[in-house]
Amino acid sequence: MTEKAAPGTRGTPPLADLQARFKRGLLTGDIVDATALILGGAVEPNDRFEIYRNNTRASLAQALATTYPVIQRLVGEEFFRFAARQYIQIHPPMVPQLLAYGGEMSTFLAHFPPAQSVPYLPDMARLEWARTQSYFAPDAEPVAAGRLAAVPAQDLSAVQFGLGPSVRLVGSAHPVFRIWNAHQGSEAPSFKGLSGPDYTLIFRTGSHVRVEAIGLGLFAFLTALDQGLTLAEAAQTAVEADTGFDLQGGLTTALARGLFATLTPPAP
Amino acid sequence: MPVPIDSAVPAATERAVIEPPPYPASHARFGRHAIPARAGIGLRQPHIDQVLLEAPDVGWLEIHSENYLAPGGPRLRALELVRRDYPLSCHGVGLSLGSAEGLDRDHLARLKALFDRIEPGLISEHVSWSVAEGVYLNDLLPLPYTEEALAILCRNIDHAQSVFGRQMLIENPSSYVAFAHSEMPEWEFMAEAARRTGCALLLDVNNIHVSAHNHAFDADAYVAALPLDRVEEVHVAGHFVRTFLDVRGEARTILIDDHGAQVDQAVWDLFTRVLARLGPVPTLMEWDTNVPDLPVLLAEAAIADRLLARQAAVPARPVPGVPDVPVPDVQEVMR
Ligand SMILES: [Fe+2]
Repeated sequence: MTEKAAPGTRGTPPLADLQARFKRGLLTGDIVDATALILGGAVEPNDRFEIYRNNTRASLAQALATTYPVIQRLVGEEFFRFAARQYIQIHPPMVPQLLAYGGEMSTFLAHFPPAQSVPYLPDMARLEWARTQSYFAPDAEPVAAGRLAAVPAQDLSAVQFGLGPSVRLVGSAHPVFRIWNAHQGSEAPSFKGLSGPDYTLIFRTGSHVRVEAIGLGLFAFLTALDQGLTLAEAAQTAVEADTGFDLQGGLTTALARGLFATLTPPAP
Repeated sequence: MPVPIDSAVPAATERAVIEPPPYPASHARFGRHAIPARAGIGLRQPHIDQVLLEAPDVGWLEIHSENYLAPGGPRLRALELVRRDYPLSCHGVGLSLGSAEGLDRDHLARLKALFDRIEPGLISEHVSWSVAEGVYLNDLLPLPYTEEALAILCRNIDHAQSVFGRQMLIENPSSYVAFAHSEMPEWEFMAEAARRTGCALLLDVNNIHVSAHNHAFDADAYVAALPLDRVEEVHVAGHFVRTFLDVRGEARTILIDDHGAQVDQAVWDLFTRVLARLGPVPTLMEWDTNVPDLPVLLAEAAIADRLLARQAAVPARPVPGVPDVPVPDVQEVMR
């Protein structure tokens, strides 16, 4: 065994320093400080380090492509890989779970100059991220329709509903639901001539994440309930957004899909 | 090996997992030490429904813990169903036991919650690191084998074992780089970590083969130098060969540990020699990239099972200093 130097002395970098150098090399390609520590042998240190760099970049880009399949189809694999490499540098994973990686894609695309010619990309990223969040959300027992029927009539207007943990609402000025939907088959999608807006409801039933287009009224109604407004207040908000909003139909839709996790009658 | 991607949300048209009956309050069917000395397979998303429907004859299953740390959802529900029929081992890929900055307390808590929920027979992690300055690099990166790194690794293992309230296994890594300032060989680093922390060892035979090639050491000498009485699990997996040209333009090879192929014959041979010293031991067939159909995986596991069955008939655990027992003919077993 060689003599042991205290960390940091005689050219022995402390482990924290080595790890910081590797991190910089892996993320930015500035590999000189990392490769200086590596033994060569039959294969050069640079070639050896590049194996890790390729692993890190390719696997994180693959994780993003897995979460954003429609974005990838919209922009093409080459552009997506290019964007993913920028994304990985700006937003590297801060949690050691790939299922939690990629949540800043919408913000990233909104400020990514090469993506500006496709204005609906950030909203599409919100939709796809909402789908992943819905899939991994906690389980909750949905409120059964009978619970509402049991509320005394004079209390109905002050009832509050809490949305289930898997429910997500994505509103967009662009036709993102229809574009997303057009990409669900394997054939070449056609979505020319579409215009917005689209309101999308995402929720989980059993093992499946459902993605549905809803009207502005129902969107406003569910959003208001999610903010803690009472049934009467949420209905008022929905009618203001969409004069055609049908409260009975909206409630039926929501209860049939199990969108509510809590029902709170007014305090007596 | 980069950590495999397993985060896809299945399309709504995919076949549903069988809906579960109501769960009992506790799942105590398989306690600790319940992983049998048989072949197991890594359970990957594309196979879960099929495993639930067909219940293939395989001794046990290993999951990547990080794929199940969500607070709920279909994936955890499916795992709770799988857990009723198979002993489970939880293999971590994100704890980063070698990080100088210590362990992520939130991550430890999430892992603890998973272990409490499914009560795995074994829990394991790698002798490597993946987190620096808070950033998760999604790869199992190599440590320099120094006293400082050993002290950090041991402190982190102590921390994890105290949070989990149980013993962990630590796995020998595969690597493509070695550090000029390393002070001891990898086997000494592994052995010393186990001795100081009381953890057990997970011996990845493919990783030994890969690293032995990449760093020009003798795989059998590595095995011989380890405290084999601490080995509670073995991994086998596939790798591939990448060729580089050296400064003189000559072809040089590096073995890449991608868990993306059938087990190489040289790795089965090393596995057979390891078994001769170790006796039957839980053995996992890992396959993470280009994941094949389930029968291909099961066929690989069946090879390991045949080698294990053969070893069970031979006296194991030689006393130190006594010559090794004869090595069975691996070619014959595989026919
Ligand atoms: Fe392994």
